[in-house]
Amino acid sequence: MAAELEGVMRAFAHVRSSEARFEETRQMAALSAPVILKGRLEFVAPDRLVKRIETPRRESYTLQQGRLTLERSGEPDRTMDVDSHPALHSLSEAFRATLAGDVGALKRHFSVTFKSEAQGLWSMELVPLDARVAEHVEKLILTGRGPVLLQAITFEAGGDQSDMRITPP
Amino acid sequence: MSAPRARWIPLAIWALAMLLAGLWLATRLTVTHDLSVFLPAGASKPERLLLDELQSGQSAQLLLLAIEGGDEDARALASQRLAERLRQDADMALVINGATDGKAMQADNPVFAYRFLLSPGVNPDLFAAHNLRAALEQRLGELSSGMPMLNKRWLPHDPLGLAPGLMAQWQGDSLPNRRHGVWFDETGARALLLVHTRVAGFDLDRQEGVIKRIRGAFDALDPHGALHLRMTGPAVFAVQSRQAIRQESTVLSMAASMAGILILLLAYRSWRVAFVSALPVASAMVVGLCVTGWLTGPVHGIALAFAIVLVGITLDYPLHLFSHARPGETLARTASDLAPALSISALTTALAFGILAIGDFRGLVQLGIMAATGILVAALVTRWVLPAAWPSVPTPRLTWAHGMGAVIRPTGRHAGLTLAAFAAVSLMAVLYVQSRPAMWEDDLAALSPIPSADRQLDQQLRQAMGAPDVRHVILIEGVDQESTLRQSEQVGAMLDALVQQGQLRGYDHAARYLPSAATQQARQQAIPLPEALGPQLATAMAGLPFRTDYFEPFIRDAEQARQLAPLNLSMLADTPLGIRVGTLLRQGASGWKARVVLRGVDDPAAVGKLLQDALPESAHFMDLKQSTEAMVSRFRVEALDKGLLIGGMILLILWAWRKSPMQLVRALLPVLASLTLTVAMLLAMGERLNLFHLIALLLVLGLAVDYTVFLQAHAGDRDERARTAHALLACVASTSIVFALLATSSMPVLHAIGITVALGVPMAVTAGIIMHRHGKPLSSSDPSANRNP
Repeated sequence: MAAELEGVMRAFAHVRSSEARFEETRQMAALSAPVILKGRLEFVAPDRLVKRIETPRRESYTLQQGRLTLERSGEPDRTMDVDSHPALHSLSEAFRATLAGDVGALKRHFSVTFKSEAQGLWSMELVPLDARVAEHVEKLILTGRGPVLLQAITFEAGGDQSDMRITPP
Repeated sequence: MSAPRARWIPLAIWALAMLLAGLWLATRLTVTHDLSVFLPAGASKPERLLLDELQSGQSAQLLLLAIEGGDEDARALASQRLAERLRQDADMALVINGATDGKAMQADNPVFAYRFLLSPGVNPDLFAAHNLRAALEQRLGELSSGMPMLNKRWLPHDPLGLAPGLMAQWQGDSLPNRRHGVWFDETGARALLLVHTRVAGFDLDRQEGVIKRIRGAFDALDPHGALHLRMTGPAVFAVQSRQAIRQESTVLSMAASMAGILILLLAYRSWRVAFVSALPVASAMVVGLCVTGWLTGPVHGIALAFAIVLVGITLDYPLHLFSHARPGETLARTASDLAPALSISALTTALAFGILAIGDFRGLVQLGIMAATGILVAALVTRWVLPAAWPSVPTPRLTWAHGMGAVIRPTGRHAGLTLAAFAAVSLMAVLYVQSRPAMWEDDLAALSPIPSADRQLDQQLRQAMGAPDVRHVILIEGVDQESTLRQSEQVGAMLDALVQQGQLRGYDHAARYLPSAATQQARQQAIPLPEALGPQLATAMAGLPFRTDYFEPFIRDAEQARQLAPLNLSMLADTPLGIRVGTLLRQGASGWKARVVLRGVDDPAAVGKLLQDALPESAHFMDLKQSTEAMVSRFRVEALDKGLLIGGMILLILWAWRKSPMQLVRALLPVLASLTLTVAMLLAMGERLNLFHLIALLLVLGLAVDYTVFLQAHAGDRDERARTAHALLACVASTSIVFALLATSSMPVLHAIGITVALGVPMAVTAGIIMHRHGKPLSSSDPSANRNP
């Protein structure tokens, strides 16, 4: 299992940059209907990750070298240090470390359970190690094929869930 | 009268006095190190407030920590670990390093329930359907933004976002930057932590323990020493000054004692004389300290160190005694010969310091009492105890002293010229002093033994951490917490207007965190009853995708908030909020006191005027820097006035001693010349004069009079002149060396007195000798003394 994880991560480490569309469905206790976000994901190794949202409203989140910048039309840009927010830091590392093939970073934040599945698919269950993160995030399940990420499901501690499906171009 | 019995009387009295004083010191003496003892009990009301503010307002429980060295990651990690360790220490009430623990304002925080009472935005309008709708739309936007809202526990309780709003308001705009999740200064070179201890500011031993434990915890984290921890804050400074005072006092007094013993051995070549000479000084210190402690309570460390130095000059008395001992003569006889001169010089010096003791400056009172008592005791011991204990001592060899004696033989030549020259020197020195622009040091901080680099660091850290760095404050007095908070709110409303007009950058006050009960009650009344709130909320939710019953907790909480007893300071004890409020609002000995800390004041006078018009009785605007400077300069002026008084008294004593006005002029002119010249030289060396230079000048004055008296009273024949010269040389050498040692001290107080005396004494004795040599012989044994010049 460890060898398979290493193999997939090595494959990710060879990808210098990638782009994909996503559709994120959020089920929340507060709302009677799910919220659906659509947009694009961009990654440039090792540490630039951009989430551009097209609907329900345009905004973009750029993570670069630990700084998260929010751009929203009609508002001044906001920048923050993800280190200051443990849960946000771990969540963003789940994506960034996977895409960068940085198995060390991934294991610093999560306990990782890797599974190979049929048709070359794999899945990874990430359980946060930091109690401050676990307070908000129960676990993530990432699914992919080779060095391509296809789905990320986030299970929040309060029962809310977000399911992000990723479609490579 | 049988001689042997008479001999035992002074010895017995002395032994008893020493025993009693020693016992008292061993059991009752306490030494404090609070610098504010060196401040007077203020005379005017603003001065009293100011002192109160300086002594307790700046939160003596606050420690500012900075971690330097290593790389940024290492500093951040050390900050985290250090904070974790310190939080386990029962003496640390609060350790903040910027890491969000996420618990600041949660549903389980007791303050959360009071959000309706504390939020400035709460008014009847806020609960109108259209305002509720706007808030709900904003929450919906947050739920569907790209960044997931992870902590939704508060959402059903607080759709208005009152709690996050309060957090933002409390944090203000002065928070430090965060890097790697913890506070850093702007450059990233220092990780910053703020520690609030539970230890009272005056409890220096426990403060020292806390500081040591912080250091210990840090050193354990960083065994390789790549990182450095720097600490500032009132407690750190108090502990540091105490250490500095202890260390320097010990080292300097040891060095001074060695130098004194060396000179004694050189002058008298007898261990016994050296030992015996120390007795008057030692007795003076024991009795002086005892009387001071008995009369004034805890003795300040600086007063103690300073008074020991002052009392040290009484070493002169036994020196005079032993130098004047003639071969074959009993010491009792010598002492009785010297008695008039000894009394004059001891009385004048003791008087000078006695006058210092009259005043409202507690440190100075202690110093004055100790020095005056000590000088009298030393004179008495020299006069009565030494001759009783040692009927005869080896007389010094005067071979070389005869040459010296020749120098102090009055010749009467150029008498008028000498007078004119001294007058001219004094005048020139005065003119020079007058021409110097910045003569006085009125910054209180410059008197503190804390190195200026540390004080600068404290300023930097305060700025970086948004800890109050107060220069402009408004002090508010009230009879109880409620009225004080109401006035603080009133002042706040006035200041809001100034902020809007751009005349003020910002301010902080207790009511920002803890509104008055009246304000809290007004907000409670703005909350609709559940029967009204429910339908309004339903209207607001129409068409939005929220679950219909999702905000039931909000309606319940609002109803609960309507019935809460208003929050007060005692309910916040030991919470971060309570500690924050506690630095701005506290219960004093008489009533309550609140501070409003101002930032970026454009026109201080206008703010003062505004307050004067609105709240003339209870609110006082203060420029702390300016006010302390004004106060320090007032003490200085007082000291100067006292100096003049002392000068006048000494004049009278000398006049009573030498009746002729001309002789008086000749006795005083060299003293005047050496004092003015000393001041001129100090200024030329770049010193800025403070109170302690003035006190030291007083000491020089006393010594100069002392030298003049002995010169004039004991210069009759060749042998006596040799003995006087011998005594003078021993006195001047010991005094100059001891005070030159003090001048090297890093403590401004000791440095000031050291340099002044080390300069002044050689000049005073030189001037005295010149005047004496060129004057008409004054001794009654000299027939020429009766001729007028």
